[in-house]
Amino acid sequence: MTTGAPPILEARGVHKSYPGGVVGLRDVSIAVAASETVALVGESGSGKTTLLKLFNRLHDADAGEALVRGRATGELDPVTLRRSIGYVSQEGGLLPHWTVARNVALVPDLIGKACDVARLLGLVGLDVSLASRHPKELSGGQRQRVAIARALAAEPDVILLDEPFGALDPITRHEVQGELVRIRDALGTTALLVTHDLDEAFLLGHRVAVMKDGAIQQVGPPGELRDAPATDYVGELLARWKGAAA
Amino acid sequence: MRSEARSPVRRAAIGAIATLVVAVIVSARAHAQPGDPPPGGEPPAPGTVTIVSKNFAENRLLAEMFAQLIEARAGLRVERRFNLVGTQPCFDAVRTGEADIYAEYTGTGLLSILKAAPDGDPARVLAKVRADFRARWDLEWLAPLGFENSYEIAVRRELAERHGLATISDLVPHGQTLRAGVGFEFVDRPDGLPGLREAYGLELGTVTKFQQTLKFQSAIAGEIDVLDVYTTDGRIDLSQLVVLEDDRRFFPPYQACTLVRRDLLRRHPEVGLALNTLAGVLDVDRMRALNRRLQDDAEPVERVAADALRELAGQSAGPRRLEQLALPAYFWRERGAIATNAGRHLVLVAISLALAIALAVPLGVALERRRALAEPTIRGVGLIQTIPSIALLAFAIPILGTGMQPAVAALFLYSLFPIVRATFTGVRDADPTACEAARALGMTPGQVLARVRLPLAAPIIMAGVRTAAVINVGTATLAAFIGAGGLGDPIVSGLQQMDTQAILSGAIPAAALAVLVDVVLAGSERLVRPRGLA
Repeated sequence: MTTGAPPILEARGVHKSYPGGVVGLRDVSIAVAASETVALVGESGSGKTTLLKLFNRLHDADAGEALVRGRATGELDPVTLRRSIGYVSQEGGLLPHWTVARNVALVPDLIGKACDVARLLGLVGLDVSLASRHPKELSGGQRQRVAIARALAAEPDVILLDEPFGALDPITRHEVQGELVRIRDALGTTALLVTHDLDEAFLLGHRVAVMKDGAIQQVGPPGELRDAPATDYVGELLARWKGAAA
Repeated sequence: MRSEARSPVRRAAIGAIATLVVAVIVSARAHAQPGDPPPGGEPPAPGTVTIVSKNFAENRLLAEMFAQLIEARAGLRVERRFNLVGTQPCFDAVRTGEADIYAEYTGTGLLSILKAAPDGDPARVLAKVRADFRARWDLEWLAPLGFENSYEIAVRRELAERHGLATISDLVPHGQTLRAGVGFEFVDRPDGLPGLREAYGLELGTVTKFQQTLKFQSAIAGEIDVLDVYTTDGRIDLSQLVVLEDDRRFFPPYQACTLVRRDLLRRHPEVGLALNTLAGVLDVDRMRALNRRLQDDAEPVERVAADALRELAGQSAGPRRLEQLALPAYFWRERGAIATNAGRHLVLVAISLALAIALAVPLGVALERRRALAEPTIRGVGLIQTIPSIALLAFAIPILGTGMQPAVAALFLYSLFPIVRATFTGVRDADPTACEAARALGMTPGQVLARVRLPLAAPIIMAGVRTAAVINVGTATLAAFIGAGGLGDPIVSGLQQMDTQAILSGAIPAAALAVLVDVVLAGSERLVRPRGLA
C-alpha cells in the first residue's frame, strides 16, 4: 500500500440496509492490496458476507462506494465484473447436473477461453479421473476443491471466499486450507475470506478484520489484534478463542 | 368443527364466482346478433349439412333418420354431431349456423327457449313458436312428426292397482306417503314439480333427483313410487309402470318437429322435401317401439333409423334382435369402434396438453421473474379447476360451437394449473446455492434460467405434465357430451340405453389409456432428469 499502486478491493464509507430497516453495513471502509488475503470474522449477521458480496455486485451499497482495481463497481457491468472475480461459497455451489469438468470450465466457457481442466484439477490435488463425475459422486472435500478449481479457472487476480470450508470435517478442512495457502502463494492471488472460524482467519489472513453489527471493529495483522485489541469486543473474542484453543 | 363447517362454504363461493365469470362471458356471446358469423369453428363445407342431437335415444334416432333421409334423397353430405348435453347447446348450434338441423319439441321451444307462458293448446303453441323463431332467428319448425313426447307422471303398477289410481288427481290424497324420483331439470321447471304442485295441490313425501336411467332401475327395485317419464319412453312398459292421465291438462304439448335453418331450405329446397316425408307419420306407439329397441336391445341407432325409414316407405323389415355377448366377445366385436374412439380420445388429449404446455411452461418461468404476480396468477388459473367439467364444456359451446374445438379448449384450461404450478415451483426452488454461484461467476439471468434453473426443474415440470395428462384423459370422456367423440361416446350412449357393456367399452379403455399415458410420461420424466440429480 505504500507502493502507490491502488488496492485490488476497496470499500469507502459503505452503508447498506435491507428491506425492513435491518442494517447490513454502517460506514465500512477497508482495502485489500494485491496478493494480500484479508479475513473477515464476526458473528452471524455482523455484515461479513454483505461486505464480500459488494465486490462482485451481488449487493450494491446504499451510500459510499466499493471499488475493484481502482474503479467504482457502480460503473462496471456486473456480468463482466463477476467473470473477472473468482467465487467460492460454503456449499460450493457446484451445478449438480453438470460434470466436474464442465463445472470447472464454467467461466472460461462463458468468456470463450480455452480451459485446461486436467491442470486445474491437479492444482487442487484432485485426480483427473474425477473430471467426468457429477458433484453428488464426490466427497465434501473433493467438492470444495472442485469449487476452488472453478474459481481459479479463468485466472482471476482476486477471489472471494464465503465460508468456503464451513461444511467440512476438521481434518479435511485442514487439508484444503493448506492447499489454498499453497495455491494462493504460488499464483499471487488476492483474496477476501469470510469465516466464523478464528483459527482459519489467523491461518489464512495476512490481516484480519473483526466485524460486529455491520461495522468493522479493528483491522490488522493477527499479532496486532492479539497484542493490542482496539475494543473490548475484540479483546473478549480473542480471549475466548485462546481459551478454547488452550 | 368450525373450520370444517366453513371450508365447503368457501369452496362453494369460489365455484359460484367462477361460474358467474364464465356465465357473463357466455351471455355476452349469446347477445350477439343472429347474423354474426359463428366464431371459432370454420363454416361447414358447401354441400354439407350438419345435424346435432340432444343426449337421449329418441332425439338421436330422429337426428339419424333426418341424416339418412337427406343423404338418400338430397344427395348431400351429412355431418353428425350427436349427444349434445340438453336443449341449449343444440339450439345455440343451429342459431349460430354451427349446425343446420335438430329435432325439437314445441313445448320446449315455447317454455325453455322463448321463455313464454305455458299454453295447453297444441296448435296455438306451434303457431307461436313458428312465428317467433322465423322472426328472431330465421329458423323453421317443419310440420309435426306425428307424436308428442310430453312429461307424464307414472307410478308403479302394483301401487296403482292397490289404490285404484288412474289420474294425477287420484294421486293427490296419497301424495304425502309416496317417494318420488324425478329427473334433474323436472325439479325446477315451471312445467315440472312446482307447476304440478300448483295445478293439482300435489305434495309428495320425499323427492330424490335421478339420472334418467337410474330412475327406472329404482322404480323396478321398489325404491321409488312416483316418477316423471316421457310419453314415448320404451321403458314405461318394461318397468311395470302405469302412466296417469293428466286430467287437468297441466303438461304443455310437446309435439316433436324438425327445427331447421331457413337459409339451408333456401339453398337446398330438396332438404325440405326430404324431411317433410316424415310429417305426421310417426305415432306414439311406433316411437315407443323404436325407443325400446334402442334402450334395451341396444341396437345401433343407424340400423333402427334405417329400419324405421324402410317401414315408413312401405318395405317392412321385421325387428331384429342382437344376441347378448360376453364382455370379451363384445369388446372384440367393437374393437374397431374402440380403436377409433381411443384414437380420437388421444388426439383430444394430445392437442390440448401440447397447447397447455406451450402456454403454462413459459408462464411459470415468467412468473418466477415476477414473483409478486405469481400467487395471484396461479390462483386465478386454479379457479378454472373449480368449475365442474361438464359446466365448462357446456359453456364452451356458445363460444366455440360443438365438436372438437370447445372440448380441446376446455381440456386445455384444465391442464394449465398443474403445469404452471409445477413450473413456477420447480424453477423458483431450483438448488439455491447452485443458482447463486452461477450468478456470482458471471452467468446472465437468461443463462442462469436456461442452463441451471430449467434443467434442475425439468423433473418437477414433467411431474406437473403427468398430473395434467391423467386428469385430461379422465375429463376427456365428458367431451362426448358436446359431440367431440372419444371414449366418452359409448359411455354416454350406454348410460342412455342402460347398456353396461357399452359403458364398459368406453370406461375400461379410458382407464387403460390413463395408465398408459402416465407410464409413457414417467419414462420421459426419467429422460429429462439430469444425470447428476439423485
